[in-house]
Amino acid sequence: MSGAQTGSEWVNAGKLSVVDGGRGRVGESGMGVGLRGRSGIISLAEECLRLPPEAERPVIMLLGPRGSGASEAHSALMERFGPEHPFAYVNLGGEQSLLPRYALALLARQLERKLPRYRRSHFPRLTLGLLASDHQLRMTSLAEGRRTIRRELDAFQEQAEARYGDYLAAFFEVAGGAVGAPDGASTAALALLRDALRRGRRRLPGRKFTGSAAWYGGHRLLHSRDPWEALVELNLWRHEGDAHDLERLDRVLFSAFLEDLRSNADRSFMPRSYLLLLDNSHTEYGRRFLDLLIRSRHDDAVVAGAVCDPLTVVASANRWLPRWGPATGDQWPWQLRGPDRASLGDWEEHRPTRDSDDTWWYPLRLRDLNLDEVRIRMELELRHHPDLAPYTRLAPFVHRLTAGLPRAVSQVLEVFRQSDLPAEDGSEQDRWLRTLPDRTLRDGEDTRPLAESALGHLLKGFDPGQRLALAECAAARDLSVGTRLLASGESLFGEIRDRWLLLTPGTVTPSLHPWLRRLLLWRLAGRPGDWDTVHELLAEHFRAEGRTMHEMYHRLASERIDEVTEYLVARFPVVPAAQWISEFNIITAAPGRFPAAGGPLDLLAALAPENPPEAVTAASVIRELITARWVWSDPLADPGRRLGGVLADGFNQLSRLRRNDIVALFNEAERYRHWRHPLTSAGEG
Amino acid sequence: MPRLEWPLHIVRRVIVGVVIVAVLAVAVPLTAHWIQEKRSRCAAGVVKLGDGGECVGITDGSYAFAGHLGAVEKKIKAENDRVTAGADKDPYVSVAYMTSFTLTDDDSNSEESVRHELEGAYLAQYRHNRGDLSSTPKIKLLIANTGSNAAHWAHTTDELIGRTGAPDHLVAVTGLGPSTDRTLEALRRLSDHGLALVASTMTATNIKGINGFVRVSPTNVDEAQAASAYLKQQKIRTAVVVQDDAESNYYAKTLGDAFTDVFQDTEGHRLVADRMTYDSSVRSAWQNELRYMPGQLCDQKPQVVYFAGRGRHLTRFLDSLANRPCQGRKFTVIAGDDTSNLTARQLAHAAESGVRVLYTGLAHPDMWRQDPLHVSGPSARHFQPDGSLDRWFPNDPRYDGQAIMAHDAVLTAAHGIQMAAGWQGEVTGDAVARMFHQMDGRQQVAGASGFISFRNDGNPRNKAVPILHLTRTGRAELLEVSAPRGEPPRKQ
Repeated sequence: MSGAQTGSEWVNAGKLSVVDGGRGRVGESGMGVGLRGRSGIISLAEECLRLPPEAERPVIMLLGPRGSGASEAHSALMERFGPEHPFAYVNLGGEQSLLPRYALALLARQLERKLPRYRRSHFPRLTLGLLASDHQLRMTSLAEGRRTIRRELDAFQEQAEARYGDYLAAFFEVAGGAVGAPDGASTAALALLRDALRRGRRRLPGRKFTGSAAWYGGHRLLHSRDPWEALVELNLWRHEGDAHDLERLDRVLFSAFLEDLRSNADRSFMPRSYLLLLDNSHTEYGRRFLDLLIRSRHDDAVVAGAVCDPLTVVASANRWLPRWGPATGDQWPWQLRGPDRASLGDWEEHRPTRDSDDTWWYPLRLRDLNLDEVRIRMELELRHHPDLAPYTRLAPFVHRLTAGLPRAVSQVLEVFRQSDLPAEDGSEQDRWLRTLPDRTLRDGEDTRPLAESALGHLLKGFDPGQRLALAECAAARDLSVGTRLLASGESLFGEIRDRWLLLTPGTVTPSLHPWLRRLLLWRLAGRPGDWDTVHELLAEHFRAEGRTMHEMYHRLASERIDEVTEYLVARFPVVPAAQWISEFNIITAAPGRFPAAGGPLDLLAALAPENPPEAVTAASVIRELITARWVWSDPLADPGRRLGGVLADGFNQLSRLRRNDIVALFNEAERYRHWRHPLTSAGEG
Repeated sequence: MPRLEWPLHIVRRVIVGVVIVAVLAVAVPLTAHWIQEKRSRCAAGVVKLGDGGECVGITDGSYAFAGHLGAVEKKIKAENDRVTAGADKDPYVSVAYMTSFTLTDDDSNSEESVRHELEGAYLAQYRHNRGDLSSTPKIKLLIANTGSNAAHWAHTTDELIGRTGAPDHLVAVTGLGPSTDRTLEALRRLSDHGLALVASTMTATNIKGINGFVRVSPTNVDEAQAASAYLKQQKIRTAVVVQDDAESNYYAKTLGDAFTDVFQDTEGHRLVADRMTYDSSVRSAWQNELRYMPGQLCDQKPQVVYFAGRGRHLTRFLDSLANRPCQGRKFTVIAGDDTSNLTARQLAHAAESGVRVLYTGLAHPDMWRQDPLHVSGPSARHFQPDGSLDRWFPNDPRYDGQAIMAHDAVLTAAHGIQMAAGWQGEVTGDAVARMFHQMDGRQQVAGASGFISFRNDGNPRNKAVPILHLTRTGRAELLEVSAPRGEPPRKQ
């Protein structure tokens, strides 16, 4: 088998260390703020850890796009519960593929950590199973194998102990890199993780081979009833078996792991539960690990009717898992739950019937930060970076730009910190922010423009061609329309949906996450020809479909202001004011390919007609309103919403040009005059 | 078993705390007790008691109760060690010599007298173990101190009772000190526990009829009778009795009563005045009382004054008498055996008064020379100049007879032990005590103070009483050997 490692390979393996990589810098800025808006997850984990050992606990899945704060959640859980509870963290999305047996060894090794309030936990069955299946036994018959296995196990364990201190520690030599540290881990969390991984001169608890071997002798997946023959069988599966045998071996090892946990938790002075943190579990090996875990738990707790294992599992995934059926979620009994109200009660209430192994999941869709959370996050940052103090006023801008995606907020703040953004609120600052996506972001050794860095992270795994296509598709409000018209088939759309990169399910239009769309459109704006072509195509599409309002959206994006003005002027007398305002808002939310220089007023001035009319007419007012709101809608074009006054005046003027139904216009004028930023990205802009 | 969920580190701390507290709870009192015992202990078997921290109890000679006892205790210790070392060959039993070894001004005994007693006791032990009387079982000699005035008699007797079993096998207690209430109490308690008791210098007549108790000294009545007989022989016709009226002083009371009884007779011997008394228990008054007596004596003009009181009161009395108003008149004072408890200096001082002083002693080394028929030669020889005692303890004149009495007491116990062993094998206190009544005829004790046998009440039968004269140099000079019934017993 490809990933199989034998003992002899360990000799050349590198030294064990916690891999912090280059992520520490960005992570550092997130210190202590990782769980802003995630308190539900903490309290849920706390509830699970407090349950009696035999109680049933969910496998908590943190779902969301890359950068949605799952790793931060792991780090915060580690920080919160690590000092008091045994925990283990494994990053299943590392570059190194992690066989389930290695993952188990790494987890067990971390869970063995000695805590003041508990006795040390031991994993004799798992260790014996790993030992027995580790290297090929030299034997010619089962009977001979039975005779020699004990001696060979002893010899092999002694070798490993002589070399690494204890048997499980040896697994770090081959798989230590997968432990890593979660993105954005604080120094406190890193210290805890280091402590959990510290190598000790600990031996197996006695030589309890006999008792553990007896457990294998009675296992339902093994044919042999004799303990030592059962171990020989495991060895044969590993070294001479087919894929089916290998899967059975993994199942037996998982079963041993869970049995060890149960017998640990059954004793006095032992923890009630063990916290397992599985980062990036959407990867191939991650999915396999979860499948085996769920299956073993289900086999034990439901099929065999035994006591449930005492694991509190918190796994994160950036993708929809195939085993849940189509990504629309139609065939999965679960509806994704929000993290704010996550609780055991909520799980019990919504979990499917116990007969299905879906009963163990508890999927929580990580939401974006709201404006208040972004503001608090920025204020918390000030404790560590006093130089950011003047920028707290920019919280509404940051929230409007990023839609509250946690990693995006961190990156923007990091750019602020690293650059010379004018501290004074004013046109100079506006002009600086106009080109924010092109400002450089240093992330360790890596120095790239913010847009590139952020896109690189969000679209990891997409090839350049897909990225180009996606940038074009982003021009459409409705991504499904964009991919149908501009890309080849539905695969791109499906991929985006799998990765939770659409706005939170439940919104009517399947549009891209605002932050991703803004970055993609920024890229597209860099290709003026493509920009115009794409919008022209989309406009034509909607014209053909008779959806003029959407056509106008794309006309405005192509800067065809006069056509748009003409349409809205014509609509003004014939539709109720409220409907007109609604259409106006949708059209003027169109993306713009504004010049890179200049503040909002400069941009507005540049968009003014070449020959301004002498008298104030409905057309002239509406034209000015269109251009003002178009610029105003783009956070990069008008970061401070300075055109609100212009819009208010425009609506006031418009109200004078209409005889009735003017309250809506007044209200709109008032709204812009006393602008209040919406709390979530579902709002305007 | 239910699962325990208390925090392990707290549980560990609590357990460690409880263990420490438990250990301390045991260790602190034990240590305190050990320190207290260490402080209150003078040596093995010897503890500090009383306000002055007096060392009382029992020693085998390894601890010296007083510096002047060092030499003799060292010898006793060596002999005891020899006895215990040879225990597998020759079995042994213990005999204790009990008296007040730590003396103060309140005691009637002097340091010299108790030292002489111990020397005599050692001589008897030596003779029994490996001397001319060598026999088995051997004797281990324990030295028991009841403290000044026998104040701690209860402690010491309890300790002695505790020694009756192995390894000491105590069977007899000898010595037993002066005749006081406390000594009497001690005798009763020891007797109740089946120990054989042999008093050496106890003369009070009323101490008798205690089970297992005998004495080698003549009683006060014997002394008074012997004194009376001597005076009458010397043609003395008139006398006056001066007596200590202290309630606990049996010695004085029995002496005074007995003399009054026997001196007066129809042949013209009479007491010319009522008994003159002083009370030594009233510490502030007795010296004054003695000071007023010479005037009365000058008026009454007796030929002899019979002094029934302790030796140290006698010296005061003689001081007063030296300054009598009628200096032209000669007085003879005759006293009891307690005079022999005075030190050589006190005796010399008493002799300076110019008054002729006679007293009835308990024993005198010259008795053998003067009256060889009535004293055991082999025993008395050790007390002669250049005898064993002079060789072992030179430069220590022993005219007081205390060494002889102690020797005879221990010898009596040893004789009883030997008889008990020969008779029934097992030597116990009761068995030894029973033997005292068999010491008659050939079995009488060949003492240096005379041949001794016992009446049923424990008193010696017609014991020899030396009449002594205090010379001007303070030496006791033997005038005559008397006895209550004329002639003392002879060797059988």
